[in-house]
Amino acid sequence: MFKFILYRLLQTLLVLWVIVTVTFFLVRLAPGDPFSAERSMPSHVKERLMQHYGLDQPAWVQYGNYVSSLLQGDLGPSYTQSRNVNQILAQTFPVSLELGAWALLIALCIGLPVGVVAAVYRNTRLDYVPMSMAMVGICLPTFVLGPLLALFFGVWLNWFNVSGWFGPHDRVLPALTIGLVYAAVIARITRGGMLEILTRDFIRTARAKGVPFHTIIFKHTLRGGLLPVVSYMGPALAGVISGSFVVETIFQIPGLGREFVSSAFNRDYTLVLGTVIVYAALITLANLLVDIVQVLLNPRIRFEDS
Amino acid sequence: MSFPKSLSPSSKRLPTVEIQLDQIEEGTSLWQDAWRRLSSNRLALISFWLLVAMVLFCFVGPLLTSYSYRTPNLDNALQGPSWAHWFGTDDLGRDQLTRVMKGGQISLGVGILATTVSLIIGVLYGATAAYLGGKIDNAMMRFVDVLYALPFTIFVILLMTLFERSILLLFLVIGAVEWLTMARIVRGQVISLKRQEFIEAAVSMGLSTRRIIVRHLIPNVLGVVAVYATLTVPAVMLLESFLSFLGLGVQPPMPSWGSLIKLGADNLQLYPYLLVIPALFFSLTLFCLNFLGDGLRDALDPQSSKD
Repeated sequence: MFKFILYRLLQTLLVLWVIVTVTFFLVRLAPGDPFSAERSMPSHVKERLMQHYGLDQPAWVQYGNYVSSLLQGDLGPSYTQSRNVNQILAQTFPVSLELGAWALLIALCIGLPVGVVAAVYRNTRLDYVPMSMAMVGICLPTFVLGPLLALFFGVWLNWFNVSGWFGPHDRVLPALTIGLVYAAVIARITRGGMLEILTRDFIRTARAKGVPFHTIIFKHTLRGGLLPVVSYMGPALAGVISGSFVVETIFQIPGLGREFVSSAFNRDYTLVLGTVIVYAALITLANLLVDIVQVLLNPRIRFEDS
Repeated sequence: MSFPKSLSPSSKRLPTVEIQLDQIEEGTSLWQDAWRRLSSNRLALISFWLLVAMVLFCFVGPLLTSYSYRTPNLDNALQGPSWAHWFGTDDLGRDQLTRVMKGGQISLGVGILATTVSLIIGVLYGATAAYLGGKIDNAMMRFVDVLYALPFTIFVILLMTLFERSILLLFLVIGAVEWLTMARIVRGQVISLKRQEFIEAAVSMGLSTRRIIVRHLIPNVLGVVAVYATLTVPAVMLLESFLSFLGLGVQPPMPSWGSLIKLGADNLQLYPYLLVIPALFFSLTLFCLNFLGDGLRDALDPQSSKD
């Protein structure tokens, strides 16, 4: 187990390094620079600025400097804001984290029970109705659902604010927007996973032995039936992150997603890199965690195989 | 796939066998079977005809309206639905009906083109890996695994913000993301087919390599590819509209359903029709494509269950 985790941790670090490197050169390959937006800037001022930030040096030197300060935990100054990247991340990341956590909570709290019920009562109304609704949910992406929810609950019913991020009230619509889509996907995956286990011989044996119904579901089926859901959590997290780009724009939430999109527009090199590093670390670490949980849940996956 | 020459005798020596084989095959082909199963699936059939209607609406419709999707008419801005403008007008006074049609052209067009790009890359890559096998196959699929682990949406957004945006870049980028799953599916299919008995039987019956590939391998791979391609189109449309929503996809004055929804989202307090109509068209199309894909999967691959 320890060897497996160590191996995967090294792999994660390698992936992170690749991401940092690719992003670093991608951003610099692109036409334009952080100061090209301000047209009125005299050329000698711009030169001084480039010099000040070391942007006049060859790309390799810049890369070396960046990586060495990154290893000390310094993500560098922002080129378009007065705060440095560490401060920006410290302010915006908790907001996005909270939004994402609520969204995942909603997705799991709705998706899991619905999927389990649909599988247990398969081919009845308790299966068809929620599963058709899940299909609708899958076809309603965040950027459609978000504005529609805002229109319905914000404008017409006037229950919530249409935008902003102040009181607990303001968490509801954004979290629902992201959460409902993934609730639909998780419900489908849960149903599939549960069905696969429920048709196995050992479940029939347990039934024949007279094992109580809830024991069959909670002890025998859930453990194996939820494996597909666990492996979906990695992609789900990545999806929640890209959902946050949209939702934070719609509901005007001061989170990391909005910061990422606007920093890429402004070519704020260090801020783009900083956000990409945070996202990449989050996703790769989540994948690592998912792998470990999967091994714990399923003794048949051998560590050596991975 | 190649077979030793000794195993495939020339057809001249066994003319009678060849004719009988043709007659047997004419019974029911894979596609006839599939069509029969698909037509009995009412939901998939409705989705199919709705999609046909949607394509006609988007591609023929603009020829029938007297408005342009790009010429602004500021005197007429933000009018609600009326007889002159069924879907109202947008913030620059352009006819929203025409713009929804044009946006559908872009969304469907990008969906289909990017799927084709992913199809070509994926099929070639997957088939090559499966055909070569061994260490090369292993290395090729490991590469796909590594790409899978990368947070791709972030890179797509980066590419679209940093470089000059064009529709060409848009569907190259999307196609480049979506080919991964296609490659995996094709590889798995080819490998399992290579080992199956009916291929062995075909070899032992003395069918030529070309005939085996054309009549047995390609149709079997094509089924799975067709199913997956139908399911890729909505995924691609989703990604395109997601980018257009963020302002990173198609550029104005060209509309896409994503950018129309964005306009609606910005004006939802006062002009909800700008949001509801494009959202409805977009969701309906995704819905139909997903149901048709599910139906095709059941029709072409009856062994695989729905979930």
